[in-house]
Amino acid sequence: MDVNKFRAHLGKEREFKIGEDTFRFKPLTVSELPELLSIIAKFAKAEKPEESFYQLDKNDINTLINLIKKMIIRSYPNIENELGEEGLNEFIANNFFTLITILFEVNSMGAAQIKRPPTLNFPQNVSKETNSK
Amino acid sequence: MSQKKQTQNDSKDTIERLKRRILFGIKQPKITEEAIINIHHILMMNYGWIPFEEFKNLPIPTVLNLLDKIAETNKEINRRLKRR
Repeated sequence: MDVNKFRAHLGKEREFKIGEDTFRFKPLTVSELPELLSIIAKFAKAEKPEESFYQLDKNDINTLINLIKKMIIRSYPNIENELGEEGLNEFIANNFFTLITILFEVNSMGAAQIKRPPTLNFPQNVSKETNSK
Repeated sequence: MSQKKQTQNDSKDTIERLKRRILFGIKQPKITEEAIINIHHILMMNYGWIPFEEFKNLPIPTVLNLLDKIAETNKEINRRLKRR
């Protein structure tokens, strides 16, 4: 039985793979909705999915990083104590595009529409999400 | 048009507008907390009083699923009303 599908509809945490490791991420809460919506609005302005990132300015990127950080801390409450702020920032930087997709996916915001820009040749370090589809 | 039907249509329109804003074509340069207030209002209209603090802590997918459910119910009610 695919429990991950049930979890998605209940707003519970879901499993995602980053590289070889499996993580369980929880969705954000309504208090973060305005920030998330403002980012989605920017992505929605792009005519093609691969142009989405060109719509973002420095503030948007910071908002995005904060939202990802909130998602990680909500899912792993002690992680900032264990990794330190710098370690957490490094984890986010190393997996930025993967984490953006997870952020939209876990919050039911249509991650399928988001594509990394072709000019940014980052390594593809995300595996297929486990049992989520 | 009866007042009840008018209210249902208003509620359906608001939900549809919100969903469009949330999921697709959001044209406003800046989205404020107004969306949250509207969603809170729609949920309370359908499920009764919800303390704002509790509402703010609800997971986003849960709220989106509830909005979907409300829109679906309103659609069904309108369909039945039209049949009469």
